[in-house]
Amino acid sequence: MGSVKELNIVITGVGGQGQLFLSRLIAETFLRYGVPSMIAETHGMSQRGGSVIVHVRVGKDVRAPLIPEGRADIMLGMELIEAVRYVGYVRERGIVLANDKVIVPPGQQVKIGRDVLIDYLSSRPIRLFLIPSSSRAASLGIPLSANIHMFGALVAVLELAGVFDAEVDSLVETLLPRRFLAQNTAIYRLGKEDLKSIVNPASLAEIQELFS
Amino acid sequence: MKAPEGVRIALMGNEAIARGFLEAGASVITGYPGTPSSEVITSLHEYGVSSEIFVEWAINERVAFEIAYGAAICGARAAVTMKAPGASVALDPIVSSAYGGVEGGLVVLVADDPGPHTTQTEQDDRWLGFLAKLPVVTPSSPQEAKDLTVSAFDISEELKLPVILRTTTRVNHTVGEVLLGPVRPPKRTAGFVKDIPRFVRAGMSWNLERHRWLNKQLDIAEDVFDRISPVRNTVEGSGRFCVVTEGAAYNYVREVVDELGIEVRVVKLSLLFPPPRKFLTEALDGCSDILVVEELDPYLELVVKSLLKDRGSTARVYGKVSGSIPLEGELSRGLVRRAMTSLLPGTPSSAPQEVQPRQALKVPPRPPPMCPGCPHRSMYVAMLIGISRAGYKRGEVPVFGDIGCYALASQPPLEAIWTEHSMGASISMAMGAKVAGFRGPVIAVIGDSTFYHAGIQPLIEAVHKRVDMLVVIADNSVVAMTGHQSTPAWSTLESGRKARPVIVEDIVRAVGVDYLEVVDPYDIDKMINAFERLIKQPGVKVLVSKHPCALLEARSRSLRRYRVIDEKCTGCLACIKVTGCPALFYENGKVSISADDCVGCGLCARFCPYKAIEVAGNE
Repeated sequence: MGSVKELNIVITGVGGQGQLFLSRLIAETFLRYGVPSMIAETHGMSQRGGSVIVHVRVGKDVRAPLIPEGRADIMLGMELIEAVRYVGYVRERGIVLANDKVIVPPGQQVKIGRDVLIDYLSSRPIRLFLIPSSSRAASLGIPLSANIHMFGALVAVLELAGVFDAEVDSLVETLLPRRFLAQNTAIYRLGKEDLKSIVNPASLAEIQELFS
Repeated sequence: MKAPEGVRIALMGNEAIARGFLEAGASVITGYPGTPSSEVITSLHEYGVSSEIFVEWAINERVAFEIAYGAAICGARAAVTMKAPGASVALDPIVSSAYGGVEGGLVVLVADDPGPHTTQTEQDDRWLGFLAKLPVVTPSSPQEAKDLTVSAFDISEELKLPVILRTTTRVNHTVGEVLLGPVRPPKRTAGFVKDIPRFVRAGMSWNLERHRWLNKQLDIAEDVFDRISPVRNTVEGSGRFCVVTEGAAYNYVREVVDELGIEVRVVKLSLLFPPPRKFLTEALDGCSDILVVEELDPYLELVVKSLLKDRGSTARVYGKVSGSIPLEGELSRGLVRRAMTSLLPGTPSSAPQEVQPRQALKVPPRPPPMCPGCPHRSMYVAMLIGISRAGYKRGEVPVFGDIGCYALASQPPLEAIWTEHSMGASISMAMGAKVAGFRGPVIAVIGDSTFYHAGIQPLIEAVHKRVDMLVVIADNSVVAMTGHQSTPAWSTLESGRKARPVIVEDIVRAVGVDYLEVVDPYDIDKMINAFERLIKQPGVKVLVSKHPCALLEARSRSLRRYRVIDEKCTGCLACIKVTGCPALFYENGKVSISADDCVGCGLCARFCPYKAIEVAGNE
């Protein structure tokens, strides 16, 4: 695999969407490749239904667990409102993988539309990839595994960037939850395919530039 | 976490501390749940420990500390965990323990919360060193957390003093790689040696003598720390510009120094009390300008200034007092960078990539809500209706809240509680309002675990002084907010230990309240009726609102689901306005119910004026 000096990934979403597990999956995968990583988790009040941001920092030079604003290379947005809230963490030309899902905060009658959120993200100096993690998870009968679809999409990006090699799949499959392993393996692979299917030559060049 | 010596694994800071307890051979481990400290004990429960080790939650931090202290004076190695306000709860026995000291090592984890993320104040427990006269050590990473935990036991045994392991959220909740060490066999009691002057604080001449002993121990603490701890006070780099730091703040300093590529002297402290004066004197020698980078109070800044003053140094000291570092909130790399570059001419204050346009699109806030089906929600809805049925306006009946999930009712649409102060304060503060002459009815709301923790004595006080108030005990049979830990009502604990349940109603009865009623809040009309009656009734009335935490119940029972009949829904939003339930959402002029989230409490159906919400079936 390619060398990683410093890779910053923010994971955002709504408490209960599995951001903590997703962060551990990423850290464990890099650890198996011999690359250290750190995670700053959010616990307590924001666990269920609150706004959640988790910082994952990968690489030999990393000391502090928090990613400074404007310094994340990749955002994994499990929900569109939360992706917009924290998009300031993403650096210029950074990558945003956004789950195509809106969870309206409870009690809010102000309607903020999906299209407004997507238009805004698209207007930023970042590369947006919109992926159907929640609907894929629902159709496979494992609604809580949208995070694993998202993980698949991230692994695809890191493969295209040359950070991971083809070995990664057999490694990842040992890290997925034992419960519903077949479905979780399927949705992981689907996440990879879904991401690769929307990458065009221009965006591929941008991904590779990010890691050059 | 049970992996053998020499293995590297990814551990959260709290898991690393738990591993440290095992490596040090702690045989009594207790505490009270509180973010960001809870995962130390929950991870030990999750992984399981030998039956030689007592790992249990205690009723509160004070009792936890006393259990651990009792074990340690009998020669056992003991540990106790708590969040910052918990240290205040345990302060009385902590301070006295410095005089008696210990035989077995005793380590007290106190987790502070700069930010704050989940704590009522930004309390700085480094001051515990000066206040209680106990050694305080602090780690900056999960690896250091593990290693320093182990050496804290050795230091404690060497000095015969409890040692405070003081952490902050960014160490407790950071996951990083940890190299594991050997696990020592648990050190249990070797017997209790009677020594009255040492352990009886009733003799004033004994106390004076023990104080002299304590000061002598503190005099040698720096040397003992240097000899024992592999996590040291360190100096990196050189130069006349120096940064003094500790804990999580060190990491920001390190990254900024590396990023700027400048030559500065970085002094990191791991021993915070007693201040390592020998080390600091040498480390700061020749410095002209000193920036102190720390979170919470200007603790190190005052330590450094007093040391320099004693030595007649003219070095300039910058930090929180000078305004270089904010007095409130959490640090970040950006804040540390700005502080450093403003003192170092010619260095850029921000990295080019950090310049980003301000966020343009406003999105609605998402405060943590009460969960779908939360029994507290039903209780509060019934309370608010009960208040108006009893002939009062909402604004006329103060509701004194307490600490737990049920404090989330301060959010719209309920906005039901008026205070949330400290563990157990709901009942005593309600009493304060009454004895001060408040004429109308008052309500106190307290959860079951908070009642066990610190609510029983306030209830005795209210009964004894014959104060009129309605006390609601929101009993969901678990410490819910911190991750579902056990309460004294449990019969089998997380460790597998069989326990004798101590029931809330039995305690309330024994206290001698004027009236006790137990109602399931899912029976909403019965609950409304109870509030309507009890608000007006004189005396101390206790209403136990009893229903299991919805999150736990959803795992164990088959769920009833509700759905909205589209033809009947007018989009009036009464369901959302009354309940604020997160499973309800508004789309295309109608309300829908998220089938993934609904647990079938039926509260929304009860309040739909058009009967547009019905049972969709059981699962």
